[in-house]
Amino acid sequence: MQLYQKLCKAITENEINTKKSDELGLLHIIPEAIELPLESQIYYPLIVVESKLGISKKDLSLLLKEAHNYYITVTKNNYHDLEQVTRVMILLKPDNYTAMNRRKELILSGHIDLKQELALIELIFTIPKHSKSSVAWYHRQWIYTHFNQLLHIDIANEFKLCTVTSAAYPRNYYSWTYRYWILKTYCINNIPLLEREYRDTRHWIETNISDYSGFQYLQQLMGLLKLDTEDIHMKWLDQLIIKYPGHESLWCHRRFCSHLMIHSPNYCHSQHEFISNILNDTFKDQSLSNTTDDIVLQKEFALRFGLWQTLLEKRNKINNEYATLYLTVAPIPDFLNIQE
Amino acid sequence: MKLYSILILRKDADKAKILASQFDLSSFGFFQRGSVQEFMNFSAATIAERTPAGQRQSVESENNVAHVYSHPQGISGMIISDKDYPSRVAFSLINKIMDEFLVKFPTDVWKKADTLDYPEIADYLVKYQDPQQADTIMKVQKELDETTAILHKTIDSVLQRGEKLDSLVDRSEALSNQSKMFYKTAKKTNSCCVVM
Repeated sequence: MQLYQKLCKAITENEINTKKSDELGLLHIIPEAIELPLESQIYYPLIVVESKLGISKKDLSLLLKEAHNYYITVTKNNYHDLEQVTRVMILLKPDNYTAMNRRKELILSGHIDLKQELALIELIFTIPKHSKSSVAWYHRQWIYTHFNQLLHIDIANEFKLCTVTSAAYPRNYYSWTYRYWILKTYCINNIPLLEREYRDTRHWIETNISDYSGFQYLQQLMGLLKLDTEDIHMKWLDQLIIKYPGHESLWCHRRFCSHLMIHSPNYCHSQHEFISNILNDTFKDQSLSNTTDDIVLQKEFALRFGLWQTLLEKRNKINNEYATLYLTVAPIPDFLNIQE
Repeated sequence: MKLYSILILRKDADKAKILASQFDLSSFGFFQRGSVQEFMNFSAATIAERTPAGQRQSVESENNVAHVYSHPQGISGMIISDKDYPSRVAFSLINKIMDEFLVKFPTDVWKKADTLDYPEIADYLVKYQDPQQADTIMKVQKELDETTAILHKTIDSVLQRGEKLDSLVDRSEALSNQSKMFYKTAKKTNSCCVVM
């Protein structure tokens, strides 16, 4: 119980989670006590520096055990201790349904302040791995849903939290789906904001081209916005595909675009023309990578896309003159006449 | 994709000395930054020392890559990035930085200096976080396409025969005792994020 109590002391005495610079860290190894500032040594082996709390991975499992063992002894109406122990539990491991749900009860009975709970979640997310916790993200969503009369939501702050966590943990599915939930719930009619999100997400993707969850968000935005600048979007995608050969995420997004734009004039023709150029190395000089693997993958992705596009056109009763280009990747030579 | 560091090193006999460096470690947590920077400094020197003049290498470890060009004049340019960052862009950038460095600092200056003030690399570290910004530099460096960089999947493979990474870590002056312990423990438990 000693370590758990030390943690509670560290959190309380240093007002962790009340200052903007708060951060949690899980460390592989901690320095010797003498190497730490005097104010931190009383909490050793926990580290407290400038309102940031460091816990070694070794101590983490011990703390989880101690916290849990204490939790099961706390009586139902000991609200103070219940709040404290569940807070520690979710700080250490946010994917803890029991603790999170107990905290929901405490919120409903008025024993936890809403704003502090929101700040607590932001503190939890300072550990990158924890920023993908679906339980934590849902807890946040639950608070806003349940108390939307009482709470004023700061949309910009929520988006910023999503951006920070998407950077901290790549392809952060729950961060992006939360972002979409905010958008859908609070911003659905705010066209300028949707347009800004579309531009910002495109910009994000340019330096995070394998972020499939980011792409999903972009695609959801495109669905909401009813894009009227389709060819500008495709030009943007073309450039990325040319610059970064062999990235599957870009080609997956291309398929989404096809679903959206298949009936637009000249769309289909331009797809096959693009593929043809890829196969002919037309854009070779513009790519930012020239490793053989990437070039080979690129052509493979291009062919597969072409085949898929051809079948999509057939399904949509669009005439296709390019089918022969894709015979090399077709399942059977007669693939166009397969009855679906 | 991220750029973590740009470094300029000088080769003195068999030791490499960092003359100028800039880091962007904002994506690392507060408690990690110190040891991450130490390990990057250690890797930089270790790799630069073992890159023959005129050669380009990329050395991978964890989720990082160190790209290095050992200029024939005895100075090396290095960029540490994540694995997503295109290596071709990194080498173009190193070329540009080396060219500008050699114009800015005469040989007798950098041959004797302990450290050099080279603020331009701080600007480049910001600007080239987006590889597409490097479009214009790459267009004028056609000859880079003809050269190949050797790719090493681990830092072990740049070491000479008989050299052991463990003892290099142990003897390193760039690493604090804490970092050395960290390396030993992480290796023993086979855990990731050794940052080497």
